[in-house]
Amino acid sequence: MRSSFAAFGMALAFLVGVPNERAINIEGSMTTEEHHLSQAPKEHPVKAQLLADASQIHPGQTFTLGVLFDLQPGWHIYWQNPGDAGLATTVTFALPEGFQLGKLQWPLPKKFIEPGDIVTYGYTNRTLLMTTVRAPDNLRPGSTVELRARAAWLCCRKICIPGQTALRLELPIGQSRPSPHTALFATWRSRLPRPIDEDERLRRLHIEGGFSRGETSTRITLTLEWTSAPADIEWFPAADPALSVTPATIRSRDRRTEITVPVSILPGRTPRESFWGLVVYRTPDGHRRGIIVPIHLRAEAVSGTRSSTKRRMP
Amino acid sequence: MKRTHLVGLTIWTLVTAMWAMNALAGDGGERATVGAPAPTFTLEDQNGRPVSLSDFTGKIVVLEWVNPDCPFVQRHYRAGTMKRLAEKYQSKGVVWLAINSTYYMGKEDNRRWIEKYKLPYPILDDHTGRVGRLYGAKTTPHMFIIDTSGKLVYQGGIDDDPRGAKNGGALNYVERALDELLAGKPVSISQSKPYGCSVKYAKTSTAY
Repeated sequence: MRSSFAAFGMALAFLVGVPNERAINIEGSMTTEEHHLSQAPKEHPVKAQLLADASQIHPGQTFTLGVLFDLQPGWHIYWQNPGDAGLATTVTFALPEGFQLGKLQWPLPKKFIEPGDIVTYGYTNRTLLMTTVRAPDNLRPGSTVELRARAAWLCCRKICIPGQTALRLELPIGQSRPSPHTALFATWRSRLPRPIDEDERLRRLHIEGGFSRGETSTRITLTLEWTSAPADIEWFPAADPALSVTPATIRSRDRRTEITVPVSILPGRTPRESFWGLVVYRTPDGHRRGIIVPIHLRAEAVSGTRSSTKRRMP
Repeated sequence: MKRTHLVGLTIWTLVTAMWAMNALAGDGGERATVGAPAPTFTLEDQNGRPVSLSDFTGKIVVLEWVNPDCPFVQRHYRAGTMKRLAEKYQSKGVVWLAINSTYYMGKEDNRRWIEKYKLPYPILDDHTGRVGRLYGAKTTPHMFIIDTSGKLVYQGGIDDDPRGAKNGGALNYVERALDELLAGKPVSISQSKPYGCSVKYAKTSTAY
């Protein structure tokens, strides 16, 4: 009976000419033959390379190191929160002594909605997971350094295949010199989410809700006020093994957006004090922008609400 | 104008029909919820024999969502995770049922998987995805436990080791819950985040 309902819904969506799923539907991109092909493809669908935005580094220089993933059409890998299914992609760097490693930075993910209301987050085609690295001051010009990384992922299309690889990159020490990949890094850097303060469109953010003492489920409401109304607003919650985060409702009107996120604590778990998510939107010229929104999970004892203007946020 | 009216009328008719069908659906609309009675179902096993949840009234029942194409499932079957648990608890009266909601698989695939691993439990054919959607099964594996009173008492992952990296140190939620139930205790961890491949559901299931 449920599915008859769904079938009617599909028919309805078809009649009025509205796509019933705005987000990318993975299953929709496949041909009929592939539906009955249970074996893995001959060639692994994902290639990974270790790249830097410098082809030669100067002692003490800061540069960017990243793993570029190239995926065959139709396949996807996962964001740091894979969502309802899948597995987060991992990149671990092994650098020589003295090199300082920053945090792994993840470009804005896409949302995939599969039949059965299964929502996952990840990347199709190509992505670059990167980190900043500071070279030590005592490197000897004329020598070379070997940088290593290990990447592991789960890629899925109709079926899922795990993959992993050990990567290495040798860089000579000398004058600082940009690499042929500098533009690629710049492109992917522009696709990273930004802190609240760095977003040009967000005027004000107000966060309400959180767990009161003893509560195991709550709703957190983010109210965002924009300088001009953005389009295609999406919400991507971070992963937390102690929490169950169900799909958010997003309501936008003019220059105001309200995102309500139902969150509950899984039995027997203690969540961290804070949580975060990404608010992603599209600019009039078609670019996706993302804002990192930190969320305190405990409702404050006195008022139970918090208000943060943009300026006051860290 | 006329066309707008026609579209409007069609929409109205469809909406009314959807409402009516949903209202008539009765128990079919009840989603599985931990702490509530587990929704009943009847599915065919690998030999075409009907198996109903109600066949096991008064018994503890474990439901395991399975897909032989999924690497997480393959890892657990190579390690014997499910078979070991099923055998360990079958002697204590626990019923183990695997369910395959993969839209492109059928009884033949299920039979082959049983033969490959000499499984002591049936795999039920849910290629329409009806029961999977009813239980809200998201991943393979995704585990559910029903107690002797017919109540759903656990839903979530098989263990806390999505990457299979804990080398025997993983906490098996199903084993722990079954031990607690058999000792007459409440299930301490009644929900966890399941992990694995997404269940490959049919886009719409009109086959029934």
